[in-house]
Amino acid sequence: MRAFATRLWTERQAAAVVLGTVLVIPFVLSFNPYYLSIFIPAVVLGAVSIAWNLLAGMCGQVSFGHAAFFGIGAYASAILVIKGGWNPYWAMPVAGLCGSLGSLVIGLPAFRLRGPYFALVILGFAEVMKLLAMNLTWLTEGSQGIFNIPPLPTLQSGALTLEFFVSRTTNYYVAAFLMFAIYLVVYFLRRSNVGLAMAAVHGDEETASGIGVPVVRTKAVALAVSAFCTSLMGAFYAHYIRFLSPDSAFDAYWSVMPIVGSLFGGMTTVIGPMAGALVITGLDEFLFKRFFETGHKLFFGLLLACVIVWVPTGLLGNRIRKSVHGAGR
Amino acid sequence: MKVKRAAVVGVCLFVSICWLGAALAAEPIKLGAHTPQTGSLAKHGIEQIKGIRLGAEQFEKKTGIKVDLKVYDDESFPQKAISAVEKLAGVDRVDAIVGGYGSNLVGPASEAAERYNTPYLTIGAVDTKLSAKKFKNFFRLNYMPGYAAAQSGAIKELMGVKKVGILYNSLSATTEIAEEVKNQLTAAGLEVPVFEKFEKGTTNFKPSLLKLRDARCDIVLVEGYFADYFGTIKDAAVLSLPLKAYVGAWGIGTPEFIRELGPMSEHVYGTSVWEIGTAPPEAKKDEAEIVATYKAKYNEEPSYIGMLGYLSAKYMLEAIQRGGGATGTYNAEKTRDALRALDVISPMGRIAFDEKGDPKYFVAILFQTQKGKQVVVYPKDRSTGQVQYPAVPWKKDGEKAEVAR
Amino acid sequence: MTSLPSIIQSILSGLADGVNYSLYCLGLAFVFGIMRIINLAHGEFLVLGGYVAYWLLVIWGINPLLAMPLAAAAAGGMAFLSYHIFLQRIRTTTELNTLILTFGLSIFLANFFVECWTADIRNLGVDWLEHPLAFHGVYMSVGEIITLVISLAVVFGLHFFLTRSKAGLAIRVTAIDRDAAALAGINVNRVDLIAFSVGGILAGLSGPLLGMLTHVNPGAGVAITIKAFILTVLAGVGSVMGLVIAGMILGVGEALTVTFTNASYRELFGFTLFLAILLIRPTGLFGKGL
Repeated sequence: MRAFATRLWTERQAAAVVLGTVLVIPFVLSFNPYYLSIFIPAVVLGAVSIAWNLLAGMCGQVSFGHAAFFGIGAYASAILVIKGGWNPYWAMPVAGLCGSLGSLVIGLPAFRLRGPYFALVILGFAEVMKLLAMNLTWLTEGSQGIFNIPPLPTLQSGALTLEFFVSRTTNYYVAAFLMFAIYLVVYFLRRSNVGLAMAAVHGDEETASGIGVPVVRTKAVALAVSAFCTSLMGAFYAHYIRFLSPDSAFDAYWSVMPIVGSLFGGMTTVIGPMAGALVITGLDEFLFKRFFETGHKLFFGLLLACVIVWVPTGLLGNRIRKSVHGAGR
Repeated sequence: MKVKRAAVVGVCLFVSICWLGAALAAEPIKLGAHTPQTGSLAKHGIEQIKGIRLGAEQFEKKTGIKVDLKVYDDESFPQKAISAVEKLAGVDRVDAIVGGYGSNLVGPASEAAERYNTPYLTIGAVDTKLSAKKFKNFFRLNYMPGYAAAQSGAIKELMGVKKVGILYNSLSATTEIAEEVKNQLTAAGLEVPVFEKFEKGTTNFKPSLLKLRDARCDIVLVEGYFADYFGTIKDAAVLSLPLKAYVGAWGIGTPEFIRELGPMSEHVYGTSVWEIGTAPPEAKKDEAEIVATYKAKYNEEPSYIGMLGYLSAKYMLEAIQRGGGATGTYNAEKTRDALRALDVISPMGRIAFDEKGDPKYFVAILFQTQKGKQVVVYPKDRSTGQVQYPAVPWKKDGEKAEVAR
Repeated sequence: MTSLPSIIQSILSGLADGVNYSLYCLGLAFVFGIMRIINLAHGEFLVLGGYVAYWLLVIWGINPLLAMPLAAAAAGGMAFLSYHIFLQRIRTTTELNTLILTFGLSIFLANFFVECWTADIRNLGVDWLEHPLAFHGVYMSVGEIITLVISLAVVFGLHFFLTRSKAGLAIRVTAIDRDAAALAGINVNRVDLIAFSVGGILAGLSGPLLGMLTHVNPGAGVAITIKAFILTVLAGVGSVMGLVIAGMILGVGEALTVTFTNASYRELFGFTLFLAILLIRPTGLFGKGL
């Protein structure tokens, strides 16, 4: 037990454990739909956290408004499917691209800004997106929201049928699959030359620029990929919850919780954010709510404050041996 | 000796009969409820649960059947509303679900209930779209058309004005009632020169109110929630707007409204399904009893949300019981049938459901706040007093009516 | 269709609102300018002040204006505790950490208010303060005029405090160069503690006023913090007077947006301005450098 707690893991080992946990959770919970409906958003959050951390932890650009991309993805997919008659399996990646596009529209001018100002720009962008969703009624149905978004179409292969209207299990594994795909993208990106460039930009922008790193392009790649992944999860979410409103799609929850999750789990790793997201969801749902019916979130606020002060590297931050780039396993 | 033995046998028999009776007594009913207890809608959800709890208690008292009430907070979040219903229907296996506040939450939640084939009775979602899917498990005590009719009807019959200004909150329900009322008014030949949407959370209404003055509107209709009424009344008072009436939608005249606005609540019109004293004659006794027990338990009078919560629990539990019969085998289909067979006069009027689950006889009442009390002025056959018109909470010279705070 | 008197009224109300915004924002701007801390719990400190004033009014009939010092003290105390227990330990870490910390505090406080005082909306209305005064067709309530005066007084007061008093000077020096200040014998840690508490005091002071003009409820803090943010960025760091002017621009802009389009575009104006300033001139309209 002591060895378990103190030994350092490699990224791969930690990832294997966390991903294994995600795969196994439904079995442990006996495929109970209630518990699955708690953990599906947790997996979605984990995926968005990994994406957020790509931009913040790896590239050093902190965003306070990832809800913008989440909402863009959700609405884009819902609108393409309902108004355009598209198949959700096609609409979702395209929604991801919409998010990327949006991110570059605001990001490219904003990259000139340092420190918290970049974070605030994205925050402002998220609010503007929300207000646009409320006012462009012809496109988004405004504040009334979009009802009855079609779920993912049933998949059939020989004897195997996967339907998504009733079953929570299938939805869970799709979310997990998407999360895993995002993890792989971020993992390999980190190991690539672009990843090296990102690390350089994170360390010191001026020096990086001095040695020939294309700073703006690197940031743009990080942002576009991060936004794509976030929008993709937003699109999935739209087909899962099957109802959207500006408030729910652009909820500050999706801006703030990826930060919390990443911090909790450890921002220096790729898998940390997923672990963090799982833990905080579990804590809120199974522990805090037991104590106060109405004010349980106050525990959460207090916990957040305490973690930041006393355990800032997060759960896994200290545990994962930082890979020497290139030799990373 | 013989007497003693007889006594022993008698006692044993007595005990056996009691035990048998208890064994044959109906099973406890499991009732689930989900409302927002935290988040932006917390206020409404908390009150609703109070009513539901009281309803369950009173049912237990009257029938002797135990009610196992499970309450979950959906945090004003659609996804948590879904989770709450999943837990109630899937894990706790409740016989039925009541609750829900806000169309955003009730939409997904009622859909989840339908997936589990669990009867779902709500009082918190008036959007007509919600029954469009014709879920067989979906029932509600109130819905949109009833409210719009109360407002437009009163305006046409009681006020005889030409121009109406409408300010409405951009949220779904308020937008819907605003559009419905506008259609009804224009169809009757009235003008709506100002039809302005505002965002939830707006605190400064002066620019919008000024438009009413410029367009020479006779009255203003504000479709919003408590914070919106608050802001518009205050700002209209400062501007000393020359209006003949201020008509609001939901949430007017609640105890909180009277308490916080004091004299500024005077003469404000509002719609409601119920306020203290507005029960139809056949239901006055029930109403008095409910109000008294609520006050005894919670130390305050029930608002319309509390009463609605109570009624939803009461009728759902009674339907479950009726469906279960003497043996107490509750099942969803029998409960649904019992609900559809319901036709009763309650403190909020006549209640019966159509095949979509909508309350087919539901008509809201329009009341006017007079000296801190809700005086029903429309429909005329349920009115409890005289309308004071023209009158607004503020007077031109800044004086206000005398009302104890 | 919009008449001239209405436009004038709209502009004047907007101006008054804007000046008040600068007051509500003062605490956040001050703390950010001096300590580079973005206090996301700023709105909650303000709301706490509002609640203190509400209960003083309802229980003892004390006017919100008179309640201001107590409200300020309560919020200042809350700020003091937050800094002493939490913030000072992470002063030297990244800015992101303090952001998360204050965010956690804001969640805690907002839910704490719901637990203590329910989610009901509270009115701090006092009769004579709501009395409208008419001047050539323009209306303002007594309370609005008094609030306007107080806002200006506090803002100017802070300006003079920072520029003329010894303590103010110490605070500014510490903000510019901590090491030099320490070398000059200033107890830098104590200055930080005081500065953050002052931020809380400023917030708490405005609570009763905001409550009086609008209302108090547990969730009101978020919108206030966001607006304070926008204004701080708009005005730029380092200029207290700039806050007033920026506030007026914001207030009038919002009011005219509503007058000429409709009310649902009101917030859009503020955010568009916010983004524009950040992208075109990040130091703000009157800022003295990042």
